[in-house]
Amino acid sequence: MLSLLLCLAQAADPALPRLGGFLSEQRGLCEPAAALFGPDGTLAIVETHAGRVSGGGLALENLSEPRGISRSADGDWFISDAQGILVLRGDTQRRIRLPGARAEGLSWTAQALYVADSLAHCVRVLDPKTGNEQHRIGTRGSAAGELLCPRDVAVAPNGEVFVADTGNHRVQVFRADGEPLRRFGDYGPYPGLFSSPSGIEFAQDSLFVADTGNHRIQRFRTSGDFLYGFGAHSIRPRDGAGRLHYPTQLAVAADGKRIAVIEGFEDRVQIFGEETPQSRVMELQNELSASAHYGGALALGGRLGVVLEPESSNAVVLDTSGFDPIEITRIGRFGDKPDLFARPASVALDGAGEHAYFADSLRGRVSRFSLARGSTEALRYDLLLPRLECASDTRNLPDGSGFEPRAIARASSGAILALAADGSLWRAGADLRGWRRILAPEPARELCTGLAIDPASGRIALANPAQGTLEILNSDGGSPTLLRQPAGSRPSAVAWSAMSTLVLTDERLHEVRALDLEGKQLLRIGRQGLGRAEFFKPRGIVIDASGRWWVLDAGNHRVQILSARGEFVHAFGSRLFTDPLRKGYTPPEQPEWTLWPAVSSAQQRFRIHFQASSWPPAVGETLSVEAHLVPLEQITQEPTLVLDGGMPEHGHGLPRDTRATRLGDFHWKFEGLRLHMGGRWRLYFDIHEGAHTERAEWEVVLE
Amino acid sequence: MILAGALLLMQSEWSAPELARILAHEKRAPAPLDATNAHLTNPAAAKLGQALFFEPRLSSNGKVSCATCHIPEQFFTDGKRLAEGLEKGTRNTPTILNAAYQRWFFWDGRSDSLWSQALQPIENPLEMGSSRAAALRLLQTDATLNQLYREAFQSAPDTSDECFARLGKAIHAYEHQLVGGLSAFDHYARALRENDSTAQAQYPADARRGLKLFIGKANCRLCHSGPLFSDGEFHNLGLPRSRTGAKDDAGRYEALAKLAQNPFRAGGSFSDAPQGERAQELEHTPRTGELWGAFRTPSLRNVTRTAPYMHRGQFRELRDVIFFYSELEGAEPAGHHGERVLQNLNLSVAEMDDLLAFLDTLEEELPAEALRRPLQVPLQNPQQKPRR
Repeated sequence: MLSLLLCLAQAADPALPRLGGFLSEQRGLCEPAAALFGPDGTLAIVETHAGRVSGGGLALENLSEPRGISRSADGDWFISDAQGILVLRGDTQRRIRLPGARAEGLSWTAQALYVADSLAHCVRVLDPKTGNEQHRIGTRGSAAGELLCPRDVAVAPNGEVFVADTGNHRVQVFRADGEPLRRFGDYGPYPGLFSSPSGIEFAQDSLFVADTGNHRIQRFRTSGDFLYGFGAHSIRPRDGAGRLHYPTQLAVAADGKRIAVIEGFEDRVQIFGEETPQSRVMELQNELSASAHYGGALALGGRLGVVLEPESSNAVVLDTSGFDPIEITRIGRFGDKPDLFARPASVALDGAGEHAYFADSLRGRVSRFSLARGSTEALRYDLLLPRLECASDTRNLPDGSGFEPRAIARASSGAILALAADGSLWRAGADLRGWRRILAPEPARELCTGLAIDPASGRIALANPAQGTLEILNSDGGSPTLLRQPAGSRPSAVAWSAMSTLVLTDERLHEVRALDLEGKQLLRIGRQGLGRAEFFKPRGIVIDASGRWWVLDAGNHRVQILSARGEFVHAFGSRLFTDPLRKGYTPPEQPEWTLWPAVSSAQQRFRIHFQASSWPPAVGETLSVEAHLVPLEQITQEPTLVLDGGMPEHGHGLPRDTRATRLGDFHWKFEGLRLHMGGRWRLYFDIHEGAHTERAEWEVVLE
Repeated sequence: MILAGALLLMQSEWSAPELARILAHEKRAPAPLDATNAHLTNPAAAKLGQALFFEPRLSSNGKVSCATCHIPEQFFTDGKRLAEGLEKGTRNTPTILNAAYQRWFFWDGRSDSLWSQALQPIENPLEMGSSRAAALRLLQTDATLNQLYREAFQSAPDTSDECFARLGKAIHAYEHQLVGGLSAFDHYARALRENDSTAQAQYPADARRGLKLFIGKANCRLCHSGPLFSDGEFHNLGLPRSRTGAKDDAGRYEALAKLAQNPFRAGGSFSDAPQGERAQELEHTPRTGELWGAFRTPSLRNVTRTAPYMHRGQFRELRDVIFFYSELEGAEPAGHHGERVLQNLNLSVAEMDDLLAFLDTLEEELPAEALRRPLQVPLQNPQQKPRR
C-alpha cells in the first residue's frame, strides 16, 4: 500500500510557513502517545508503556497508561491516563477521576477542558478549575454529531471544537455547547480523506491532522478545505528520516515553525520544520510497498491460518499445510455491512479450518464465515471462498444487554467466548446465538488484549499488558489466578500448549515466554530486533497441532514459527521484514512424503499421505503401502493406524489382512495389500485414538 | 437472447455468447424521456432551447455560447484538452450527442438531468461567467427570445428561479433531439440479427477483429456496455497524476456533495418529478471515499471524433488511451479500498490497430443540419442584426 505525498498547496496560508522538511528524530521511546512543546521549547513526551512523562520541564513516573497531554495558559499541566486526568500545578498534583472513560487527547481552554473519550465515544467537557463534568459532546455512532472511538480534540481560535473522529475516519466540528456544525473527510487514501485520524492540532487558524493509517500529516483550513499534506510511507523496517509509520499525534511549536509527529508504533518522535527544496521528503514513485501489514491477530485451524490486517480492515487466509504458508483468499474490507469490517480485532478458527470467527471491536459485532469447500483438491487462490454465515450485533442483545467485543476464542466444545471492552466475559454457541455473560465487568480487566482457551480443560487465560499479568480462570469464569510477570513486562497475547503450559508474547520486552500454571518460567526467548527469534512488539501467539509456536511479530509485520523449544523454524509476512531472516539460511528439506497423495478423515481431524509400491495395482498383485499420519487438530496421544478395505457391492473384504509396522512417529508401513478381483474397491485407513475411531477412505476401480 | 440462440447455427463466425454480447450494443431504442422535464417534447420549448444554445449574450462578455465549446460540426466538442470559455476550464468538453441517453451529466456526475446541467455553465466564472438574473433579463428584453419563451411556456419570462429552470428545460428539449444516426457497427449488428450476409460482408475485417477483442480479451464491454457503450457509472482508473501541478480532482466524491445542495436537482422543487426515479437515484447513492477521483464512463459512440480523451484531456489520441489500458504505465495504485477493474492487457500493436478500426465504426451521422445551426427566425425588425 502506498501513501501519496501531496505536493501542491492551494494558496498557502501566508501566516504559517509550509511545514514538511525533516529536521530530527528521537528514537528509543516506549510507545509515545502524545507530546507538547513546553515553555522551555523542549518536548514533553508521554510514553504509554513506560507510564511516564518527561521533557518540557516534567518528570513523572508510575502512571498507568498515560495517553494525552495539555497545558493551560497559567502553566498547569493536564495528563490523561487510565484513571482519568492528572493535574499538575507547580509541585502539587490533583486527580480528576473519570469512571468508565478511556481518556485520550485533551485540549485546554479558559472555558473548558475537553477530553476525547474513546470508550464512551464522546468528548467530555470538564470545568477547567474543578474538573467537574459539565456536559458531553457527541454520542456513539456514525451519523452527523455522532462519534466512534474519538482519539483527540482541539479547539479553534473561534471556539469551535474539532474532534478527530477516528473510527469514522473524519473530523467533526461542534459548537462549544455540543451542537454539531459540520464534518469533513471519509475513509480513503486521497487528499482530504483519512484512515483512522488520531491526532488533531491547531496552529494559528489552520488545522493539522495525524492521518494514521495513511502515514501522513494533512493540513486544512478550519472550513475543512484541504491545504496540503506531507509524509511518505515508511517502507524499510524502522525507516525514519521523514518517512512516517502510523503517526498518531502531533504537537506544533508556538511559533508555528516546527511540528513534532509522534509515532507510537515505532517508539519514535520526528520533528519537521519548514519545507525547503533540500529538506522536502521525496514522493514515493512506484517503490516497493511493505506488501503485508500483518498486525491484529492470528488463528490456526485445519489447513488454514488467518492473520488480520487492521490497516486495510481485512483478514488474510493462508494455506498452512505446506512449508510456506500461501495466501488463498481475503475476507472483508472497510465498510458497514455484515460481511465487512470497521476494525477487526480478533479472529478464531474451528478445528477443521472450516469456519472463521471475527470480532469487530468498533462495529460491535462478531461474525462467522464459512471457508469450507466441497472437494478435497488442493487449495488455490479463490476470492469467492469466504461466505458470511451469520453475525451478532453484540451491543444490542435480545435481552437488552450488550458488549463491545475485544477478543474472541473458540472452546473445543464449539462455544465462542468473547472478552468485552469493560472486562466482562461472554459466551455463545457456535452459531453465535444465546450470548450469556459468564464474568462480570472488571476495571482491572478492561485493558486485557489476549484471550485463549485450553482445548483440554476449557480453562481460560487472559493477557493483561497494562497490569503486567496473566490471569487463569476456570471454564465457567471462576477461580481466578493471577500470574504476575517480571517488572516492565506487558503480556500481549497468550496460548495454551498441549501439556497445559502457557506461552505468552511480551510487547514491551519483545520476547516469548513459556510458563507453567504456577507461573514458573520454563523458557524465555527473544529480544528486540529483526533477526531470527527476535521480535518487535509481538502481539499474538498460537500453537499448532505439532506443538510449534506461531508468533505474530506485529511490529515487524510478520509471523515467526518457532519449535516448541523456541528455535526458529520459518517466517512469513512482509517481504522487507522477512528478508533479514533469510540471508544465508536454507530451509529444511520439505519431506518428500508431503507430496504424496493424501486422504482426509471423515471428520477432517487427520490427513494421511500414502504411497503404494505400485499404483494402480494389477488384479491379484500384492502391494505394500507406506503412510504418514498428519493430525490437523491438537491430539493428546499418537493413534494407531489400520489399513483395510473391501468390495461393498460384493459383500466381502480383502482376501487377507495387511500387516502393519510402525516405522516412527506417525509413520507406518502396511504389507500384504491384495485386491484379488476387478471392480469397485473401497479402501480405508482406520485411525484409532483410544476408544475413538475415525476413518479416511477412498475408492479404486480395477478392470 | 432467444433470437441469438436461433441464429447460432447460422453465425459460424461468432459463438452464441459473442453474438449476444454484440447485439447488446446495438442502438435500437430512442432516448428515454426524462420525467423531471415536463417540456421535453414540446417543440416550442425545443426552438427556444436551440436559440439559447447558440446565444453568446448568455455570457458576460457576449462572446461565449454553449456552441463555443460544443461545436456541432465537431460532434459537439471543441478538440481541446480543456474547455475554454471566458478562461481555460478544468475539464475536457464532453459531447452532447446522445447525452439524452445518460443518467448523470458532467464528468463528475454533478447533475442528474440535462436541464440542470445546462444551467451551470451560465454561472460558472470560467465558462460563461454570467448570472441567472442577467440571463433572464436577456429573455425579457430580447424580442425574439421573449416571443419564443411565451410560445413555449404560455407565460412571460420573469426573474424567478422557476424561470431559470425553464431556461434549462428549453435547452434540454433541444438537446434531446441531438441523437446520432446509426453507425456502421449498428448496421453490422442489425445485419447479424437479420442474418443478412451481404450486409454483413460490408463490415471491414479489421473492425471485426477489433470487435472480437472489445467483447473478449480486452473486455472493454465491462464498463463500456450497452447501446451507449457506457455503463453510466463512475470509476477511478488510476490515471497518472497531473505533472503541471493542477489541484487534485476529487471527481464524483465532491460532485455528490454539490448535487445534494443543488436546488435544480431531480429531487428539488423545480423538477417536474421530484419523487420519481431520477430523484431516487441520488437518494440511494451513498457518498463514500471510494468515489474519490471517480469519473463517468463516457460513451464510445463517435469516440474517434471527440479527441482529446479523459476528464482532463490527458490523452491526445485514441491510441494513447488504448496503450494506457494495455500497459497501465504510470497508473496510480488504488489503495486498500480502491477497485481493481483494470488489468494489464498486453495487447500487440496489431490488436491495438484492430481495436481502433472497430471504434472507428462507432461513428454516427450527425443530426439534421437544421439542428446544427442557430435557429432561423424571420427577422421582425429590419434593424435587428441576424445572428451568426
